[in-house]
Formats: sequence, structure tokens, C-alpha cells
Amino acid sequence: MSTIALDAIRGCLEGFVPAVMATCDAKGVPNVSMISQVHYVDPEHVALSYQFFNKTRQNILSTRAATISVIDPANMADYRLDLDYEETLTAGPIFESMRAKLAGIASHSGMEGVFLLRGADIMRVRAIAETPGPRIAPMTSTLSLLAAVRRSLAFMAAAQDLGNLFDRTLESLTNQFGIRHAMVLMFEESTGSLYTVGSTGYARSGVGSELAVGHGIIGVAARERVPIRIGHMSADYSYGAAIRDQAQQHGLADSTAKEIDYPGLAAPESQIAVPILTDSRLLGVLFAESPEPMRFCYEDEDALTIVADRLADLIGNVQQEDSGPAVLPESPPQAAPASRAPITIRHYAADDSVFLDHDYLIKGVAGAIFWKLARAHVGQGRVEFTNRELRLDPALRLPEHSENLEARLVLLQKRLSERSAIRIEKCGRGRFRFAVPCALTLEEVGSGA
Amino acid sequence: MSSLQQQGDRQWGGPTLPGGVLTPALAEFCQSGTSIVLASCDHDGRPIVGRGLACRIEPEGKARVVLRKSSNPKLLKALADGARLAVTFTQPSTHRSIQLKAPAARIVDANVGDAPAAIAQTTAFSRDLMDVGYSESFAKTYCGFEPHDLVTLTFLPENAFVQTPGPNAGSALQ
Repeated sequence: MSTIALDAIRGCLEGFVPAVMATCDAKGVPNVSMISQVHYVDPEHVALSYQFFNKTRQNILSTRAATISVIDPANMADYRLDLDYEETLTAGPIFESMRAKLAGIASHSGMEGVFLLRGADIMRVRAIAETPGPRIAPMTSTLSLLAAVRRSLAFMAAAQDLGNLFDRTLESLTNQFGIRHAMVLMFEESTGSLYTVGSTGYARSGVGSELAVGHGIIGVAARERVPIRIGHMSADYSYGAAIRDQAQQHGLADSTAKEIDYPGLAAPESQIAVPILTDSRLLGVLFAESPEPMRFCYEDEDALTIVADRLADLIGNVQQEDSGPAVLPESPPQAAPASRAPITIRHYAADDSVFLDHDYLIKGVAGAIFWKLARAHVGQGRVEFTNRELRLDPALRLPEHSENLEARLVLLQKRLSERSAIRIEKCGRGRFRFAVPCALTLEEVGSGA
Repeated sequence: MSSLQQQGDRQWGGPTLPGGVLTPALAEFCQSGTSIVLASCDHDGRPIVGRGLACRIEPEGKARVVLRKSSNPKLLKALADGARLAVTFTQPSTHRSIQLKAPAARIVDANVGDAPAAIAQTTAFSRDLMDVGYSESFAKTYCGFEPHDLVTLTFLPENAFVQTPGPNAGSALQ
């Protein structure tokens, strides 16, 4: 084993500088090319991306040896890694992590179906040697990630409810990690989509915006259940574009394939999406981005994965509050304050979309919840509700897990506060108030009733 | 689309400089200031990787690749022992890439034209690196060298291959 530890040079494997790979055939004919990804696996292994069946691939299979040159962007040190081929993975976390990054690149550049990872070649590191050459003085870090994680977890643990937990998580990213643009998205199992429940650093919050699982950085991280990072969006895009030009010449690309529009920054350079998992079940995605290239490294991925894991635990904890009665005593009907104009609420039964005076509010389960609250308020004058009665209502068709209701209430609460004078306010454990400062007119569309 | 691709593979097999596979356009590309990476093979059949700085194509079709001696001792040792050579030239801004192979290379001292070529080509390459987003300090350091540390490989390319990433990569130009 080499005296230089692979862990100590993970910065070289970020892809800041393309890695160079040399192989030989059985007769000693060398081949040298750039390689898309050198992925850190563990202290003794890297994985190389296998995308095309070419000379490099033939050589690896026949001689089982490769040498790569990687450069540390921090100080420009050039390391030569002597590698032995062990196996090619075509499934599992390592493969999925590498494939997700390639898939993200592909979805950005309309190359789905062409730019595919055929395998992750697992290579054992025989030796690492540093090569003499020009260096620059490394910049000293102003941030201790370990301390940032510790402080973040403590701050998050003090959350009172789910909405506050999301806020505290995002606040921690900003205050402890210096991440200025981030989102929390929750997974909607029934539609296979993710919806934003909190964000920081954007002109508009984007709360309620939806992304399809499988598309873009966030959607691919969700589908594959692995953290993914892209550190140089323009270079990745450019790389994809070069392949697309060639593929289109060969008739392999669909020129009508749409590029994915992500919410958030118009021109991000770095993005990281970390799945929020509990027992490998997907709860959502923690996402951060930056206009700076290579903003997030392996260490950031480790740190944000710990934050996301803790977030998953705390999502479970803050929902242990659901012990209130299923139904509250009916409160007396309340006369609407005359000072505000009435609001017309239109509900479309087909997708549970809700409009307030022609302005779109929300749809899906959150729309159904809102419609139930509004009907109970107008019909029975109710103001207070319990989480439990919503959970028990079969008409809402809530998915099995408890975070689904809580997250939708957070979503609804935030959408209302951005779009309307109507409020959802916590008023005790597992209880909330539907505060309506005016008269409501209800219109149901397409129910057939 | 790159001009290399526009010309198509067949034209690369057209008139070559005397004694080699290099066409004038290919020779121009190799000397334009690109990323230059190298490979050889040691006695045990294990690959060796190297990085170069500049390339000059002589009128008779021979290539001269200039590199840092101190950064590539294993590569130089293997070539001195008669091992084969592969060199890939890549332009970062377009990903255009060409690989040349030769059955052997001679190691010679950098001649009077090599250092100025290294300066000119690394300057052009630095600009290309900065165009694709690398910092000036990165580009200058990557391309940096001490004149006394330069060494030159001379070889007659035997084959040339398209390396631009994609389905066409690896196909012979001739």
C-alpha cells in the first residue's frame, strides 16, 4: 500500500481537472485518454466510469491494469495512481452514484439515452505517487465542517414542529456552512414527484413547486437514493454538448428532448442533492447550490449527508405529537369580519387544485386538505382542527406515512402566508387554527355533485 | 461542431506529410496549444501516464513533444528502454481530441526551437483553460515549467485516432 492515503487526496477526485488514464494492451501498446469520472469508493478503491466500449476498455479487461494522473485543485499537486482492475459494477450504490451524476449531465444537455454509464470499474489502488512540478500555495479553509455539523445538529434538534425544523435546517446551512441557496423538498409517493417545503436565498421561495423524480439533479438523487453533486455545470454541459454533436451526426440523439428547468438559481455552477432517507425510504431531498464552480466537495457531501440523516430522524420525532382527539368540539360559527372583501375559493375535483380569487394556490393532497378545512369552516363554522382528524379522513387519501400530512400542512401554511390573508396557525400539539379574516365563497368544479 | 469533425475521417486519411500519418490540419491542431497527455508501458506491462507541454511537427512528419523531465521520470525511463508511446492532444473548449501512437520515441535535449514553442503553446493553452472557466493561477501553474527542466521526445506517428468523446471515439483516422 502506498504511503499517500487515498483519503488525503479526495480533492483530486472532484473532477476539477479531468483525470488522465493510461492503459496498455497485452503487447504493450499504450493508450491514453481523458476519463469522465474517477469516483472515491473507500480508502483503497476508486471507481472509473465506463461509458463506451473503446480501446481503454479492451485494455482494462485484457491486462487489468491502469494508471491515472489526477491533480489536486487546492495546490496543483499531480498524483499518479497505479490501479488494478477488480470488477465492473452495473448496479448498487457506487454505480448509482456515478450514474446519477452522468444522468444529471445528460438531462441538462438532452442526452438521455446516449450518455450512459455502462459500468463502474472498481480499481484497487496499488500505489499513489506525487509527481514533482509547479505548485500553488493552498488556500486555508475558513470553515471547520465538523464544527459546522455539530452546531447544525444541535440547532435543528431544538425545532418545535416540522415547519420550524425545515427553517432551522436551512438556517443552519446558511449560518454554519455558508450555503446561501438551498431547498428542502419532500417526496410525494403517489405522483412520484418532489415538492418544495422550504427554501433560502431565492427571490421567490418556490414553496410548492414540483419536480419529477428522475429529472435533474434533485430528481435523480431522489430516484437513486444517493447524494449527487455537480461542480462545474458549464463544463459538464459543454462536455455533454460535444457528445451530443457527435451523436446527432450518428442519429442517436432526439433533438426534441427537452432540457430540464430547475427552480432556483438561473446560472448555478455547483449543485448538491442529498436524499433524506429513513431506513432507505425516501422522505425528501436536501438541496443546495451556488453560482461558484466546485463549491461542494466530498467533505461537504459527507457533512450534508449527516445533516440530512439527522433531518430524517427529527422529521420522525416532531411528528410524535399526534395524540390529540380525532374531532374537536364544534366551535360556534364565527361571523366574518366585515372589513375585508370575501374570498372566492374554487376547487377542481379532478386534481384537487385550489384557486383563491382566480389565483392558483395549491393542488393534490394539500389542495384536498385546504378544501376540507374551507368547507368545514363555511359549513360548520369550524376554526380549530386536529392533525389526527385529517389523518383519519379517508377522503384525503393521505399516503401511509405520517410525514406526508405534516409536510403538506407546512406547505399549505407557507403558500397561504405568501398568497392570502388566510392563515394556518399552530395552537397546541397536533392542533391548528384555520384563521380566516373574511367571508369565504366556495365553488366546486367538476365534482359531478 | 468542430472543424475536425466537419472534415470527416476520410480527409484525415488524405495527403499526409512525408513519412507519416499527419495531415497538415492535424499537424496544425497538435501545435496549436492543447492539453498533451502521454502513455507508455513498463517492463512489467504496466501502463505509465505522463503530461506534456508542447508539440512541434517537423516538415518530414516527425513529432517533437516537449515535457517536464522532473514530472515524468517513469515515462522517460520506459521510452529509453524502447517502449511504445501514445500521445493525446485535447482542446478543452471543444473537447476535440486526437491520439497519436508510435512504436518508439527518442529522448533528446530540448533544442533551440522547443522552449519558444513551449512558451507560445502553453500561453495559447492557458487562454483556452481560462475560456472554459479555470483561473489564471490554475492555468499558469498547470502550464508552468523551468526551461532547464525541458526534455523532448521525437517520434514518427504510426497511427492517429479520433478521441473526441462519444460513439466515434477510438476510430482510426486513416
